[in-house]
Formats: sequence, C-alpha cells, structure tokens
Amino acid sequence: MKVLIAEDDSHICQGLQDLLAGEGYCTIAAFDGEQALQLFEREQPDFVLLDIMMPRRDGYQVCREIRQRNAHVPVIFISAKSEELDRVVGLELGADDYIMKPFGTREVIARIRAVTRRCFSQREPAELPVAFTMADLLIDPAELRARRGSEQIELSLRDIKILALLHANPGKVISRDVLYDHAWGRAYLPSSRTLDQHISKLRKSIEHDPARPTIIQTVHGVGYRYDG
Amino acid sequence: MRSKILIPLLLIVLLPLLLLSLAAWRLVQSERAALAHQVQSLVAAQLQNVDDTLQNYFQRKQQQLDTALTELARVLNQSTASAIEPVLDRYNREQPGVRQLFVLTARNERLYPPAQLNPQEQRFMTRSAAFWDNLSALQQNRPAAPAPADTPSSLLSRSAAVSKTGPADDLMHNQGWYIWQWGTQTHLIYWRWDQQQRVWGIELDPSYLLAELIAVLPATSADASAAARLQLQDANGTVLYQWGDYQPASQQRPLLLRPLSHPLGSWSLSYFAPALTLGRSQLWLISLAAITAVGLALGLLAWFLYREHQRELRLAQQRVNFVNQVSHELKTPLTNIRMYAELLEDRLDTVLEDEPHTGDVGTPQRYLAVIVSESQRLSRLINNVLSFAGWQKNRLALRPRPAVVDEVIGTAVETFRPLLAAKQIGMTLHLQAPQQVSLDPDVLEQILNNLLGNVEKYVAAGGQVTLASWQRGEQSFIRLQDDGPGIPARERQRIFEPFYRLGSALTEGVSGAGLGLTISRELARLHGGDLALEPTPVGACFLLRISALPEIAP
Repeated sequence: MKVLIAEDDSHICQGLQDLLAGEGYCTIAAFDGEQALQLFEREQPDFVLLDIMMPRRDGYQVCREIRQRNAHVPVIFISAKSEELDRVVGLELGADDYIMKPFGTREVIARIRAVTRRCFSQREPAELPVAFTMADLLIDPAELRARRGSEQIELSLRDIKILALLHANPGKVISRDVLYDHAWGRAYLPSSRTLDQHISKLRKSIEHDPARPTIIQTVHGVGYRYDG
Repeated sequence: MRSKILIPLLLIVLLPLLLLSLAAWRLVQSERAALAHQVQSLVAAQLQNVDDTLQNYFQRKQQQLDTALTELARVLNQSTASAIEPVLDRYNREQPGVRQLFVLTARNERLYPPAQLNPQEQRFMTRSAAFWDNLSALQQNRPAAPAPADTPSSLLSRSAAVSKTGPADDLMHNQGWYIWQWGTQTHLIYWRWDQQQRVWGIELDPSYLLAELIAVLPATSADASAAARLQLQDANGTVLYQWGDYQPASQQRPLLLRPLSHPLGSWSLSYFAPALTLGRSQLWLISLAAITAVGLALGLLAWFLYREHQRELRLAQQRVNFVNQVSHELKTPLTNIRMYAELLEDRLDTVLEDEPHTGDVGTPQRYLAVIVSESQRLSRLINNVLSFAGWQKNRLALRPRPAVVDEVIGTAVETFRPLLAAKQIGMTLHLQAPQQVSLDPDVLEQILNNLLGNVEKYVAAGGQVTLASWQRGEQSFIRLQDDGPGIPARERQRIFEPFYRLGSALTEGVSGAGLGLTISRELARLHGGDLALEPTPVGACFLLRISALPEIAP
C-alpha cells in the first residue's frame, strides 16, 4: 500500500515515513503543497497524510484538489491547529480523519490502520484478499486482524504479508531473502536482524508461547517455515 | 466587551450630573419661593402702612366729629328745638365735608332735619333709605336698653376698629360708622348717642372724603425708589387713586390685594410690580456653569478610564495571542521528541530482546520512557492552555461524531499504562459503556488524560486506581477512584478554579499549571454533563458525566 506524506517539517516527515514503513506501507514524501499534488498525480497513492500549514499550497487547498481528481482516496490531516474552525474546515473538505500534533506513534498507527480497513472495505469484493487460517488463527487481511476464538489480534500490513507468504507455502522453508523481498521490497537495504526482530515481535502477538513457536518455525541458517 | 464598559462609564458621568441638576433645580425653586415670600411680606407691610395711615385719618376725623356733635348736643340741651334749628342749619351748611346732619330723639323720631324737608334733605332721605330701614337695629344698641343682641346688623357695625384707640369706655358702643353704596359712590354716616339718648349723625361728603384721603396718601409719583404701583379701589373695583412709577399691563394681576380696615372694609388696596426674574436667572446661570464644569470633569475622567481599559484589553488580547502562538509553535518540536522517542523505544524493544535482562534501572528503555512521559505531560499542558485560551474567548466548541466511550477510555489508559506501571500503581477497569454514541472523543480523551495525569502525579507508588464506566440513556458516566491522599473538604470547591492548586506539602515539587480540572469541568459542561468530586472515605473520586450530542455531519 502506497502512502503520500505531505509535511514541511523534515523531522516529522521522516519520522512518519519510518513509522509507516515499519507497519509495511510504501511511503512517498512531499515537502510542500505543489509537490504533494505532483506526487499524487504520478504515484496514485492509496491514501494521503496532509499537513495543513505548508508552503506554496496549504493542506486545505491540496485536499480540495485531490477531491476533485479522486473522490475516494482517504485523506488524513495532520495539524498543530487544533481550533474548532480548522477541524470543521478540514472535515468539510472531505478529510477522513485528522491527527493533532503532538501525536504519539500508537495513535498514528491506530488511525492509519483504521483508514486502511476503510480502503479495503471500499474495494470490490473480488479484489479483497481472502481470509485464511493458520493453526487456530483466523487471519483476515482486509481487517488487519487475526482471531483466536473471541480474542482479537491487531496485525500490521507487513505481518499479514509475512503470514500470507508462509501460509501459501505450507511445509516449505522460505528463505530470509525471499521473505524480506516480499515483505519489505527490494528498495530496502537488507539488514540481517530486521527480519528476525520483526518475526520475534510477530510471534509475541500470535503465538501461545513465543519461546516455543508453533505457527512460525525457525529453520536455522535458512529462513522460516509454516507447517500447515 | 466594548459596551460592557461603556454602560458603567456613562452611568458614572450621567448619574452625578442628573443629581446635581436636580439639586440645582430644587435650590432655584426654594430660592424663588423665599424671594417671593420676602417680597410678599414687604408689600404686605407697605400696604399695612397705607392702611394705618387711613386708619389714623379716620380716627382724627372721628375725634373731630365727636367734638362738633358734643358741642351741638350741649347747645341743644340749653335751648329749644326751634332755637337750635338755625344753629344746626348753619353747621350743616358751613361745615366742610359735612353733607347732611341729622338728629333723632330717643324714640327714633327725627328732630333734625325738621318735618318740612327741603329738596336737598329730600335727596338725603332717598339716598340713605338703607340707613333708615335699619334704625331698629340701631335702637337695640342704645346704652340704656338691655344688653344688645350679640349679632347686630352687619351694616351697623359698632366701631370696633376705633374702639381700640377709643377715648372713653362709656363711648365704646355709643358711636359708629354706617357705610353704604349709592349709585357709583360710597357713602359714610358717622353717628353717636348723646346723654339724652338722642342719635346724632353726619353724612360725609364722598368727594370731600376722597380728597381728604388722597391728601394723606403719598403723591402720585412720590415713591420713586421702588418700581411699583399702588391702587386704591372702591367696592365696584373702580380705581379711585393710584401712585407709584410702575405702569402695570392691562391684564396684569396685582402682586398683593388687601381690603382696607373698617370703616372702608369694602375698599381695597392693590400692589403691582414687575415679575421677579433677575435673581432667578442669575442662580440658573451659576448652577448651569457648575453642572457643566462637573460634567466636563467627569467626562474627561470617563474618557481616561475608557482609554485605559481599552489599552488593557488590547494588551490582554496580545498576551492571549502570544500564548496561542507559542503553544502552537511548541507542538512541532514536541511531536518530534515524542515520535522519535517512541520509535526508538520500539526499536530497542526488538534490538535488546535477545540480550539478557540485567534488571538495571538505567536501561535505555527507561530513559526513553521518561522522555515519552514528559513529552506527553507537555502535550497535556499545551492542550489545556489552548483550551483555556479558547474558553476565555468563548471559542470552545465540540465536534461530535460516533464513538464508543470504552474505546476512548482504552486509548487514554494505554497512554498512561507504562507511566502507572513505572510507579507500580495498579489499575482496575470496569468498562460497561460499549454502545456507540455521538460525542467528541478528543474532548473526552483530554478530560481523561487530565484525571489520569493527576493520578500519576499524586497517588503514591503502589497505589490503586479504579476506572468504571456505564451508560444510562443518553448519558455516559465514568468514575475514577484512587486511594491517594485525597482532597481536603475545604478545598473541594476551589480545585475547579483556574490556576488553583492545593497548597500543601503534597503539591510541592509536582509540576502543574492549575488548569487541568478547570478545563476538564468546562469541557464536560460543554458536553452537556459535569465533572464533580464525589465524597469518598479514602483518596479522591471523580465522577464524569457527558451527554450524547446531536451529530453534526461533516
């Protein structure tokens, strides 16, 4: 999934990119309103994070332009302007949500996931990724969730990608390079620990006992395996 | 704002002016009344003076007539009626001012003029018919007769006025004036009894009498000092004589009108003078000048106060704007600090996972947790300051949308979980508000953040906090109970006041602006509810109530 981030503060922009990348999103950054519109035209992102106070064109104008070209793409405003007027204007322009500075990473992730679910729900049923089961887990990619009985487990886009690849090849060992390419993309420089750390984190949320995993097995020196 | 100050300022200026004008008006009124009274008494004294002059004249006249009549009576006593007749004739004819002499016997028979009347006497009889008709009344007054009736004829008045200075007691009731109107003239008869109970009477010549009266009165233009006009009027209102320099208008009413004393009681004296205006206008001028001066002074004062007030307002506005600006500017660096700290925390979690946990409190996670919690605290403070500024400007507003109370509580609790865990404060949740209602989740979260922030600040390590939620109809309730030091009873009302903080050892060394509870209560009230402190045996217990709001569709 491709996300356009338009934010003139470079640190915030970089931080958001890291945060979203960690979730498994592909990000494009723009530092002013004009650039944001150009990138929107060229890259056709799945949704947009828009700062309001930006040089050349402010977030409201960008949002209006985007709405004229594509009525459905979700837009989230990020702003330090928390006064009522700004919020009303933002939402009336057709923004789906807004995040007020200063924000926490968990808040951003929660809102991004909520918007992602909405993106999926707007697609045709045929285009939706199909839910699948792994052991006693029911994984619903469109919901970014897994279910075990009544328990709900929140998953990131990247978690889903990893689990989907493992599920598609039961009993086979998937090498770390293949997994990495699949879940991160070739653009990223491979780091030997990044994948392992991510698997470790994923195990914490889906395994009964993360120390003795049953869903994602480690094949030392090669990669990971799902036994079906 | 502008009109709020203008009204009291206007009152400050107008009220004293109004009171002053009223006082000045009253002063002028009373001054005028006093002056009028003074003039009246002066005029009255002057008229009294004139009256006294006339009284003196009548007294002199009476004495003169008494002497003459007594002498005639003595002559009659020494001779016969026929012998006396020429004497009386001569007196009648030659005495100036005497128009007709008459004498009646004790039995009211006419002794003089004799039975055969000449034409002049005949006219007298006709003219004085009223007197003869009243003879019986005169009869009752005879000295030898029994005590006279208390009410003699009004026309036959005994000479009370004269008696005041009358010569002898036995003469008291033995003389008098008879006045009547005949034609256009006033006629006077002076009568008296002699020792033989005969009635002696003299009709005075009206023209002669008037001439004599005028002679005792001041000359026509004698009283030049006062511009006034005095008039002597007879019973018909005909002006008989007037003096003084003032020329009254034709319809002008007299300043004072006073009847003369007896015997000319039907005549009157009038006093005319120009209206008194000079003193009045001067007083008005002084009052007007005073009022103008005071008004000017007050107006200047009010203007000065107003300008000062406007300046204060502008300064306050500038301060608020400055605070707003700075608060906004603070947000960007704060966002970065918080975001990067959280990103690093997340990264460290995975990086350090495999390494053996040393149990050392100085781990990088700990440091980061402090950075995160402090940046959260700073976020709360900034949000409260901005809300407070908005509240002061009446610009707080809600943005209701569908939300679940328990989920909002969950978000707030998640933010605070690491902080509370670090202080080993246990948290119990009884969340029973799962229905989706229309509310402003940002506002609810801000309130909860403030309450949980207080728990984190004031509850001692190892404490407990219980958070319960429930719904009843349109209203959602959240109760937050802790086992901290609580709030003393006398402080209960004040904790919601802006900038108020509990003054005790408890709050020392704990940061805070004293805005959290103020803003939380205002936001709760804005949300159709309230935030209240519940009585509880231990710790503090806050009950938050909010109402579902009609949704404003974006």
